[in-house]
Amino acid sequence: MQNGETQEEEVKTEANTNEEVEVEAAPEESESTESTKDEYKDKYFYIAAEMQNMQKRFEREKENLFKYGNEKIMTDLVDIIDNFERTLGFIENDEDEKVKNIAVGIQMINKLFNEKLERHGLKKIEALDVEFNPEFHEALSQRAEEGKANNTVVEVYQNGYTLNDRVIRAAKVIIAKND
Amino acid sequence: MGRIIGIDLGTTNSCVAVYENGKYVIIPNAEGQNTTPSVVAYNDKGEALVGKVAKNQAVTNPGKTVYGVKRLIGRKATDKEALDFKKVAPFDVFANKNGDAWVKVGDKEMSPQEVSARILEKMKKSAEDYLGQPVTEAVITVPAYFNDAQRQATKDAGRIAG
Repeated sequence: MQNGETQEEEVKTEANTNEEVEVEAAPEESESTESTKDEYKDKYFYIAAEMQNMQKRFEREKENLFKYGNEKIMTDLVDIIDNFERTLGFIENDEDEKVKNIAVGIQMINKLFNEKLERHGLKKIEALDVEFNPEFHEALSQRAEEGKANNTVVEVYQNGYTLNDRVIRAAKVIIAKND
Repeated sequence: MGRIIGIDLGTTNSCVAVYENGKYVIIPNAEGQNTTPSVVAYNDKGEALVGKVAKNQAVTNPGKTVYGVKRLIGRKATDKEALDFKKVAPFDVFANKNGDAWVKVGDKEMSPQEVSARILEKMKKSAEDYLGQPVTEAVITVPAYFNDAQRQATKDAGRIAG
């Protein structure tokens, strides 16, 4: 019995000590709770803002995906247009009747091909005889050209294209420079 | 608590990325490209053109189109690398009063840091447009062989760019 009483007393004393410790620690804890609260509040605002930005970004990315998603394939197809134009350049003025017919055929295919791609946002960059604009044109060289103002495109070496107003290939050009 | 971006400031091309959801994401520039040529040009109006636009007009404006400044950053004009670069660069490379390698763009004398800052500004702008928030902190890469002066100069470029 005596042992039991002693144990109880010990337990009580321990409990008292704990209470005392808790009471003493209370002001400190409330301060730290306050700062933790502020910290979480800051984090919440940050994450909310981040979420909003992310949403906006996803919207923009979705839009861009629709507009420019086929950029790579368009860039590759543009090479085919180049080759059509190159072929026509060689055979267009041929005297042979057979070749003339082939040229007409290629011209028709080229036109159809261009029209189809235009429907998907591809557009040829106007370059010849316009003022050089580095956003759309890539200067390969300069040469003196009578009757042309400085900085005017005098020759288009390779056509440039835009896809929904974004340049996918700048036109490679030669520009006038008269001293 | 803004986002921190990483910029690979290259001799020929530069690239910017951000760490997101446990992986890095390369941020495309306004032209939709993942890399931006490290080229800065000044047109007749004194405006700075950076990236592909600057590269496109390089032939027409060689004296005011600056590229490869990473070869000069933090170097003395008498360093072998600076002298070698001077031989091939279409713009003037000279020693400023401290002997550092600077470039002359038209009448303007500029430090490689200022030129690099224009590139960093463009990269920063791409990141801000992408993230939708201002960026104030960035990690900028330098080659392992860069000495203290070169590293410091690259940091200065970052500071100029904001």
